[in-house]
Amino acid sequence: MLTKRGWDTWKLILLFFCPALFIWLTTMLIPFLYGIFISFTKWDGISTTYSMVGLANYHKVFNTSKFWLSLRRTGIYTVGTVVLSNVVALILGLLLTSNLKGRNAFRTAIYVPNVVGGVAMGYIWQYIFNYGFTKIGQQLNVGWMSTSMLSDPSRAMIALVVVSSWQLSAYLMIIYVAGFTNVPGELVEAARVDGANAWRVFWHVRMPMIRSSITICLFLAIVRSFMVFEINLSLTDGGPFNSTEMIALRIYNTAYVSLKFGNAQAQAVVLFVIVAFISVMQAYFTQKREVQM
Amino acid sequence: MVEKRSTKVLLLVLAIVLTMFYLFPLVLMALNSLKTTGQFTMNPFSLPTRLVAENYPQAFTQMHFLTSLGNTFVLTVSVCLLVAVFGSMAAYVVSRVKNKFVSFFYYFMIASMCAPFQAFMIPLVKLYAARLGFNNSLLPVIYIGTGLNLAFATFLVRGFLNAIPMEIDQAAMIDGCGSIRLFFHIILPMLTPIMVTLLVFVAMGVWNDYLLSSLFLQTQDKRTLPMMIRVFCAQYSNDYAPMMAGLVMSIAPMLIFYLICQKQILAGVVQGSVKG
Amino acid sequence: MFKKMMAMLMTLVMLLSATAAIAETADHQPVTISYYSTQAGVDDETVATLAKFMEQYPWITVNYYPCGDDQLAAWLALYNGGNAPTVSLLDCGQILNYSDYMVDLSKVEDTSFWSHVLSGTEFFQKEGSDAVYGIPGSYQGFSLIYNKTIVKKVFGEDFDVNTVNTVDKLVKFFDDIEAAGYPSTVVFSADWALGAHYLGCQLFSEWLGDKATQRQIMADLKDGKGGLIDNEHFNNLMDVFDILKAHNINKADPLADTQEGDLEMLAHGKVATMFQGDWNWLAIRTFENIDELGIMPLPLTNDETDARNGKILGSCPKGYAVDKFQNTPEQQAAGVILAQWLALSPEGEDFMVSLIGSTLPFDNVTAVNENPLAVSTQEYLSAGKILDCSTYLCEGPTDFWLVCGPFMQAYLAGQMDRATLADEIAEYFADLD
Repeated sequence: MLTKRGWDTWKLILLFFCPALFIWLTTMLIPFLYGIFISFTKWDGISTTYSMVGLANYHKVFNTSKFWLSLRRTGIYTVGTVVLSNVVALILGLLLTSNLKGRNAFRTAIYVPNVVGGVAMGYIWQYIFNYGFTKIGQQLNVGWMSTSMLSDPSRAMIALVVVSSWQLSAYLMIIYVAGFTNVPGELVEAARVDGANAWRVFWHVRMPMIRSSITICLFLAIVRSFMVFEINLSLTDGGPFNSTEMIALRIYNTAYVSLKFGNAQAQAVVLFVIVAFISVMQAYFTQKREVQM
Repeated sequence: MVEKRSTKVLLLVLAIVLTMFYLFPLVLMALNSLKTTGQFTMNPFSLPTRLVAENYPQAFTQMHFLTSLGNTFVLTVSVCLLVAVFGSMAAYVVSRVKNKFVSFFYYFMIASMCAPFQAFMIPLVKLYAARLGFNNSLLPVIYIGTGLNLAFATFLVRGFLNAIPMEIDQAAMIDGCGSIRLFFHIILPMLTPIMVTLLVFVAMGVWNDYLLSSLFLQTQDKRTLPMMIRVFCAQYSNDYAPMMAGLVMSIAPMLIFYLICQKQILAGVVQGSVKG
Repeated sequence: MFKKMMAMLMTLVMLLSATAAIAETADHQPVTISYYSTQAGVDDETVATLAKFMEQYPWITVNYYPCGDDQLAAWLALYNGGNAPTVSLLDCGQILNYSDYMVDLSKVEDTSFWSHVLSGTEFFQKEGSDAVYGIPGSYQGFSLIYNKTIVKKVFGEDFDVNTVNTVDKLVKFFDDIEAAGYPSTVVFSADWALGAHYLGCQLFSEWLGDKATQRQIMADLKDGKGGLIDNEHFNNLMDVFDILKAHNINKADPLADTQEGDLEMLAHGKVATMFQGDWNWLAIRTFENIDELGIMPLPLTNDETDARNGKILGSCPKGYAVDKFQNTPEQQAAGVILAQWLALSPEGEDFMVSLIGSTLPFDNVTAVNENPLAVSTQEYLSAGKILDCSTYLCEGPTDFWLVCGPFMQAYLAGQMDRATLADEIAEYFADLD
């Protein structure tokens, strides 16, 4: 009996899990291992032969202060974007599941920025920052607004966080809306009858019910922020003076401008290890909490 | 009663303001698609002084719109279908089967979502184009696009499946239902809401993809819409006005699809909440 | 009558060429090759030009691979896919970087086409070798672009900008323009513009001395021996940059400009000068009611007898290279035909001159150039007043602008002083592999 069940399980795994596993192995794991191999070589991008250099690329990466700076910058950007986009998305989710006229239309409209790719949006926002806000600032005579946010290192970082959150929050909003809609109305009503105010209802009734939505959103936000590329490229292109060059853009530039493919692959591997660690931790803790619940 | 009404108005105003914030850049795009590039550069925020409709026909021909639309469509639909089928099947196993092999690879797959695409884009080309000979073809793009989205799909659907009680499976099993039939006849229909969400997310990503497509599609007749947007970018300057028109045209199909699916998402979410 | 004769003549020519083509086809095996172009934004026109080529050479079929946003990633993807383009229009630096995979065009079967090439081959040659890996695809001039309409209004119709041949005269030139009520200059702040065109091309140019001296200084920097801060030319260059910086219309917010915005001001007389090149015509021509424009030299010293103060910078940034790594000898032979046709045929020249607005360093160009900046470039080229900057473009590291451009931006924004800038550049070189 047990062996039959065991066989059934394996049949299920073979039929249902292994196709996905195979596709994933061939499109991600194997190419990624190949990439790790390249990180141990000096390669010009074309040659069919590689000269092995051992750990030299890693040695170089770890000893380059600009790599660490870029990594730190990406960390700061990620914290900013994850917090801002999730807070805004939560507010949007609440607002758009409240008793609001035409809330479906609002949801639909707000999500629209995600229909457009990051590159196009980056260009348009660049114009808004460089010409739009500055014009308003000059007319209203507001000092800090009359110069472009994109030309000052720390303000350019803020601009990047804002634009990223603008797009990301609309994306996360969908998940939060789904989460809030799944909270049974009776539960909220019951709490209200018990005399709980809006804040308490939110914090003690709604929030615990959307925990899985929060997990998904945090995870998505962290991963997407750490690997930000398109908006980084089109909004600031790493500038002014490299102050917003995130790690993915740096990797790309190392490969395709500096033509140091081994070095770029080594940086990519380091980035992967860091982000993988963060997300495995997150998945682990989520799992634990789900078991407790 | 009065207070409730004022809150309602306040919420409505808030929603309108927020919506404007989200739509403003897109309105700007549509507005500027009706100007000349010169007018755009001088003042991207002004209303067009006279409507320049030529941008649209120009973008239509320059982008080879119908061809690239067709390619984008085939790519997006294929990836969506494959991701939906393989992702939900894998998620079902991950959610229902306690097995070390499965959970090991599941976590591995989750971790791989963090691998920067730049880390394996060159190896991908070496494997699929050089070794397997897929040159200038949509097939590798569809296959790799599926692979890149599978981990996310499994992750998302698994979360939803975990909320569906095991009792349903067990009841069906007792009725003599095999696991394959169980999945396709009972579980899959219940997944509709999360599947629609998943498909919309995947479709958006694939529709807008540039980097992956650009590695495998070389000739103009194979190119997708995001690739064709670049026809307006010269090395040192961009032809913004027709580019804006091209952007409007290339997001329009996705926008329509999204507007249609939006209803289903909401219906699905409500349905799911009733059952849960 | 004349028209009729012309028509008959044309028919005759066409018939002849058709029979010639057929005759040639008989001798040739059909071959399929590919063409990769980094001349973005003109794909349909490129396809049309290639169609004309295939009419004239019916046994050759050409597949066109347009470049993407970034020009090198797609090109390398083609190589990694075993699909290397037979002919590539690439930056000279890249061609030399990958010259191991390129055909030496000085040793092909028929080298007679070289006699039409007047200059620019040095951009496709490696130090100490006579091999040539590319046919010049365009010639581009850059220095100070000026608005002729303003200059005429301020200094009179007959004013010759070549009399602004010292730094002091440049300052006076700017001051006079400003006294007349026009902002004098705009500093375009993109990293590639400041890093490659202002700093890279001008620093490693004949201002440093002859070719051997230029190479020596670059080698010293790489060995960590070179302190730029004591270099006279570097200081001259930065002194002039300080002048541009002080007169910059965007002084209050120097990094917030865009290329289109700067060019719009220049083209419409809202600013008188801008340090940039003739390739900007592609963007300028989208505006309406453009003023008269030209290019003038940017003097770097106060010695008016120094000829270098009267020269503009010029380069062959792009060339046609033929792959020998993944293409068969037959394809390579067809590729050489295509490369020289693209460079030197009337159709190819028409594409580069009329459409792209580029100058060509050839003796057989008949196409009329509508780009007034390229006309300026041509004048300086014909007069031999071109400042050689090939050391930077051919032998400089490919990511110089990517790393040092941002330093120039910081300097422009007043966030970095000259000594630090010199140190950072030196450190960059010392850190190269």
